[in-house]
Amino acid sequence: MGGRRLVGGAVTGAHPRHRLDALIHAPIRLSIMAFLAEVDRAEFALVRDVVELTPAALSKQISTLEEAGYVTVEKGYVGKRPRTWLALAPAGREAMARHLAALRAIADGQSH
Amino acid sequence: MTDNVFDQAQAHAALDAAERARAAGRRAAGHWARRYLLGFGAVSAGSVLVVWAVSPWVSPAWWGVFYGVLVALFAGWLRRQPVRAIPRRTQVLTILAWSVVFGLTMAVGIDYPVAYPIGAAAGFSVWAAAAWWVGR
Repeated sequence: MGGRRLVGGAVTGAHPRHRLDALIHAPIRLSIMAFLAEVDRAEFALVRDVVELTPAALSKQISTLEEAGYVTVEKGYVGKRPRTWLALAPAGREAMARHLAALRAIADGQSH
Repeated sequence: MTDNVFDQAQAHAALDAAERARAAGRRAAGHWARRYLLGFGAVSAGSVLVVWAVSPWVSPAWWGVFYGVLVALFAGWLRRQPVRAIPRRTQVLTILAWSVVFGLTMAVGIDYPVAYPIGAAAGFSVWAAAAWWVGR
């Protein structure tokens, strides 16, 4: 499980940018997390279409998020077809909420 | 502007991107939840009408098999959904409300067959209300 990774290298600080999560900060991962925040779970293919990534590229991003404990991956079958389901883990929801709060603080021009 | 690294414009852009992805998630969630709830409502109402139509000729023992098959079909259908997004509380309340309507329909329908179409409509209304609730 990964800990909190912060943008800019600093771990503490008054400015809201110190509360940004470097893992979620990447635009693609932000989109994946934001999409998953609205559903209980979603099929890999649907997420791939929404974020407009190749399967390999999405797999790579999902692995990173899974290693951090932000996303859970469940593999199974529907009939004979393999399916992969993605869901936001509780730690991912908390991290996403913190990250969005930090973004809003920056957008609002807060300096601490 | 902020002291470095990340300014207000970038924060706005990131928030906009997140909102677009969340909106896509909400659309997909609403679409699949409504589809499932209305589908379940229609089939459950149809099953009650089938009971009404054939009950004079079919033994009640077969209804257990009939509803067992229906539940299995819907479990399979639910598993095929690319998105699962019905809030748990809505799901539980809908199933409880429908169970009450269904139980009353079956209990009263034995003596008063007119209860079947009324129960079918009431049962569908429960699922339609849930579909409206998740899509509002």
